[in-house]
Amino acid sequence: MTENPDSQTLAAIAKGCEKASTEIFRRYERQVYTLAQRICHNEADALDVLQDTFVLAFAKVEQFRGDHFWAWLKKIAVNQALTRLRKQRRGPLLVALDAARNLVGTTPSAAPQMDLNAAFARLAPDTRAVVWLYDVEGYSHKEIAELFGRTVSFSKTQVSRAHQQMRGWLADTPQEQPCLSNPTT
Amino acid sequence: MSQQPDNLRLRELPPLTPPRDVLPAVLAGTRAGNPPATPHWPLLAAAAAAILAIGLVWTMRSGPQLDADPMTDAAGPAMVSTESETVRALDDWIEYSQQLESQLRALQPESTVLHGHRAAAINLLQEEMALIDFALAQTTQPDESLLLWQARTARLNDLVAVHVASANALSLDADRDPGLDPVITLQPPLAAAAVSVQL
Repeated sequence: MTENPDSQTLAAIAKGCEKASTEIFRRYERQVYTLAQRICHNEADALDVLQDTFVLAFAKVEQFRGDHFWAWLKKIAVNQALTRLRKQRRGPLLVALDAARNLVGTTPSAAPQMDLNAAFARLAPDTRAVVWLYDVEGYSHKEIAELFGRTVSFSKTQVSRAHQQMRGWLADTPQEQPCLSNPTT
Repeated sequence: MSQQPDNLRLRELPPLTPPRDVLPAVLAGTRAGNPPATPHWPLLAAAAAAILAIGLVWTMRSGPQLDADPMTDAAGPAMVSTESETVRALDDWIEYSQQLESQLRALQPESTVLHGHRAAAINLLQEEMALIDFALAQTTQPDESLLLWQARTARLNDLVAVHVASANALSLDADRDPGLDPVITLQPPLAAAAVSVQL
């Protein structure tokens, strides 16, 4: 768990101190980027989310009240990432191309093994986002339902079936395939 | 089973490192004092669709000048035009669905006491909506998405109607025999979608 930044650093950011902004950015950039990349599953979008999240957070840092800076920052990042995801949804061609790229990148032809990362990548975009928010970021089904403008059962079904799908994919993965193994390894 | 994708396993996936440093852009954006505006997607999508339609008309009038993109060439202008209309219709249905979701939340369904037959109808509708949501998450085809959103909205409409009926029945007569409540007819999916909302 990342330690909360002190109030002096946050006050300095509010006054436009770039040293303080840089310190906070460096502290949280990987967490924000990871979240963005897992939800958007697109490098360009994840970088945009990373940038927009911090610009927005620094602009509104005076509004931060409470003890959990990461939770506050995460909320901004999730909103930005879901906005990008909705944008992707309106471009099915791009999503399909991205999915194809992911498939090529994560499934070497010589060794058709599927690890958890690849199984997660294979999920549908919305499902992936829901599962990540629920399993990793600790959002409740109710919170996810509100974020997506859907019902609680939407979130529950997405998580349950995604787990089922991923289990199936991982179970189908051959544990040992000497004939198909890469001779260079 | 070590292969099971339980919470811990996903949580254990390594953190990712940004492929390029966006700090300079962040600092520049902060200096400029322009936080990224939250876009209004339905409006933007409608505007994009309108621009695309205008662009297509202009392109068709001035001859086949489309960029040599095999993906778009394969679909052809007519297909793109149809797709833009579908995307616009999709936005309308999504927006309408969100309005119904808000209406449903305002009814506070979790705090309503339900009679058995209404509870069963609600369960059925919710289960069907969950299946539609799952199908929606699987598809990237606008035509298919549109049909699914229409079906989803029809069920959402029915769900709101059931909750409104429950709330009215409770406020009018708390001791009323549930058997005397108006019968709620669940319409078939696509027929309901066609009649419940006029685009």
